[in-house]
Amino acid sequence: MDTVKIKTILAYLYLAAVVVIAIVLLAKSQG
Amino acid sequence: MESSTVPPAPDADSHGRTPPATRIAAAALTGILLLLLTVHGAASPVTLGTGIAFSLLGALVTYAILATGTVNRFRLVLFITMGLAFTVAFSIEHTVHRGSILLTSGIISNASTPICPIAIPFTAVPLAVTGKMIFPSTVAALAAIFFLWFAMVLIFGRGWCSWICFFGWMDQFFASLAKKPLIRLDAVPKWAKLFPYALMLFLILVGVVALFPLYCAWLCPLRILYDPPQVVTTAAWILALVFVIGGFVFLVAGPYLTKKRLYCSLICPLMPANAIVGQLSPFRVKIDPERCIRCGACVRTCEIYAITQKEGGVPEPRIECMKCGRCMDACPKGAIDYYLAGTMAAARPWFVALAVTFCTLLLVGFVRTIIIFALTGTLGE
Repeated sequence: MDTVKIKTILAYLYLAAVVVIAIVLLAKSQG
Repeated sequence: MESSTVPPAPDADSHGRTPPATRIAAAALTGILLLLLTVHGAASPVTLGTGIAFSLLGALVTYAILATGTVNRFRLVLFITMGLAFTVAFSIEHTVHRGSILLTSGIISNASTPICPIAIPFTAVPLAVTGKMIFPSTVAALAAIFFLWFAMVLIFGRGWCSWICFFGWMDQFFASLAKKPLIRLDAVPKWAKLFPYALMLFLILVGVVALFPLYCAWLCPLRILYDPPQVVTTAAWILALVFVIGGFVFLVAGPYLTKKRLYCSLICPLMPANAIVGQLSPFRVKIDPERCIRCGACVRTCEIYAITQKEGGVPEPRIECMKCGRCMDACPKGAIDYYLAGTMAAARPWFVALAVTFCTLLLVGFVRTIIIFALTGTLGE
């Protein structure tokens, strides 16, 4: 697998992680 | 700053329209996310009804943006509506809790002033350094607004300022009224662009040294509408004058005449924090050098001076880009789009679906407050 594909997959994984973290933080902000 | 060597967005045509299957999937994602976030544990007809209605609305907006290829037109309607709903809901809450929207000395001394996200840098840093809460509110309230802000800046970066910030609607609204700028202010000096950075650092320093929220107490022009002081003393009268004049210049007349978001780009002390922390965002706006004809339309249309262009070169978005999509709509060649950071993967459907979801999520909350108050005269169901 070339570097570009690996970077793209990592970017999508990062996006998914960021969305999950954000939703958890939003829930925390609601108490 | 991102490299400008990017290929054409493979998932969009030259006018930014996404393929039907992609736009349906993005609209479905918006609707499902909104349903999960708004209807979960619904206890009343108002919660259920507004949850379903606004999930459908969010899905429709996402579909419309991706089908037409115009981001900013739909964003403006959603963003300004959200801000107006916030203003009404905020005023209702003040009226119920305080008896009026005026901020009195009694409310300040009771530490029951609602904290706003703009105050985060110069209240959180002094709290971390000195252990003292310098804003007349609670640490729990600061933590709640911090989590909301950080969550959104983590996803959208400075997209906070164009999709999420419930104060940003005001200069956005007035900047959008005129068809053409009555005063051309297409460029500002570098020191003016750096002013919010200096202001934020100065306010943090004052917070740490003097333990005083200087900006909120004496300078914030947003207080023209939110938390105006009760005018019973000469000092309060002078303060009110500062807020009215500042608000009129930077939030109303200035944006209307120049079609630029003057407060959000040249004053707001939260802006630098958004730009810096926003580098964690997975989304970037990039310009395709193969399609770009160097016309400078994006530079001129940017409302916040966030695109720079060297003589004859390809323009480059700065870290202050707020991802509003205005440059994408203005580009005659469709050369500008959202990408995943550090890659060449086009990300317009993902970005739009998430931005519409969280903007609509805030809108639902404010609308619920208004409806419940209209039905019951209280804030609770």
